[in-house]
Amino acid sequence: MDAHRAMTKTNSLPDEELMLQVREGVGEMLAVLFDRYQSPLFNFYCRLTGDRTASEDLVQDVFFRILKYRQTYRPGTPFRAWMYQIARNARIDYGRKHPEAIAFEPEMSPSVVPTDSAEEAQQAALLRKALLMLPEEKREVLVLSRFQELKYEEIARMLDLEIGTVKVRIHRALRELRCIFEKLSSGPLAPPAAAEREKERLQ
Amino acid sequence: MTCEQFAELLSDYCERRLPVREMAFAREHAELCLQCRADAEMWQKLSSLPQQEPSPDSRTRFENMLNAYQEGRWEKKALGRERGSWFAAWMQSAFAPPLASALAACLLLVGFIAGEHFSSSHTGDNQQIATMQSELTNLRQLVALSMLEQQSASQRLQGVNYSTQVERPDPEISAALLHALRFDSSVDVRLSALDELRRYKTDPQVRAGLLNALQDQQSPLVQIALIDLFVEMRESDAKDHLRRIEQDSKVNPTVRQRAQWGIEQLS
Repeated sequence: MDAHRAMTKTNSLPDEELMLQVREGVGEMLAVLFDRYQSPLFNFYCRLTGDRTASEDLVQDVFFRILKYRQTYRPGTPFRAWMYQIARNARIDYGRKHPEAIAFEPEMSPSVVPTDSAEEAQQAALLRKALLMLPEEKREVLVLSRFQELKYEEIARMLDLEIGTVKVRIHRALRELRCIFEKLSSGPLAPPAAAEREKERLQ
Repeated sequence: MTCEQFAELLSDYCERRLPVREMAFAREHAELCLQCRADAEMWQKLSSLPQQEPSPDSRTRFENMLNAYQEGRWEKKALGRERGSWFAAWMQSAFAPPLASALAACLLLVGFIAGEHFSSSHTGDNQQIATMQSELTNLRQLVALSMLEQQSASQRLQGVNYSTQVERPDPEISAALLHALRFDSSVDVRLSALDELRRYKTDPQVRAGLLNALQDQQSPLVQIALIDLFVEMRESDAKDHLRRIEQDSKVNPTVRQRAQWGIEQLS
């Protein structure tokens, strides 16, 4: 019962408190952070690279780096922003080591969660494709703000930009994504072929 | 409100994080401006991108890494790298220590035979070259097998691709590929393993292994690739398995259709 209570207490601790314990050498606390963030990080990488295999490797790399560089975590710093900074660096290093990964083929990325209808599957397939066609720096800022729930200030600090610049960049990225998406929706890759392919990929 | 002002507030507006007054101004602008409204709709549309789940063995990989770190192995490795022992670091990162030793021994042996070959007279040259070739093949086998056991899926993929460099059909490699086909957590690795197994399709053990693999598969992509291979191999023993798939209502409809097509082709 006591063990159960201790576990519940640990699970409810804020990220920053857990990270401070990791910093002090309590490695087990990293497992709690892993359970909280492996899925958001995995989706972050999937949306950036479209490659599930590379994304899984990158998630592992992030947690290895957190352990390795745990002393660089400063008390009072938001953990999530610090973690995404590490995640970003890991991805840049991965790109340098695997330049071929840039020429990724979106069709290789299977979707795991089935959607309700063929129309939704088709829309998701086109959106994913459009996102991957966006220039990398725009894709990154859009993913960070839209999906990873980071604040403008955090993104600005991470990318070394002014807050205003971040807002403008997010807007430009969104508008460009919209143009690509509209082009794809009316192009030859639109339904039914895309929807059929997406359906086949569902697992 | 101008379009520039709306652009600055876009994500806050869409996520309803604005104070009531600003929210009302933004809504009013979106109702009047077609472009800005379309931008806001695009932001909402992104929510239809499905969440993906990491593979179940991701947690185990993390635990292994954490345990290894806590045992101090990673610290030692980092120290080795700092000292500039790049070869040792490469061996440690690419292969498990026992395999690294085996590889080192093989390399030494190849070097020794090469030395003998060039320093001695030319009698028996052909035999020595044959021995060297055989050692090289063993070395390639070791590399391919060790890569197939790596934790990282991309390294296992490299292992599958590397196995093509083993020119002679090798039972250990085919067994490792079959294992990858049946049990690897990554669909990419399973598909690549299946591709490489085509080289071994005349081997009765591999044929039997492929039939077993069809029963285990959950991924529609791999199931379809297997059905296609059975048709290509004219494997009549597969018909019973295909019939079971075709009649199983829990199986993906596309796979069931493919199984039906397979049965027709094999009849």
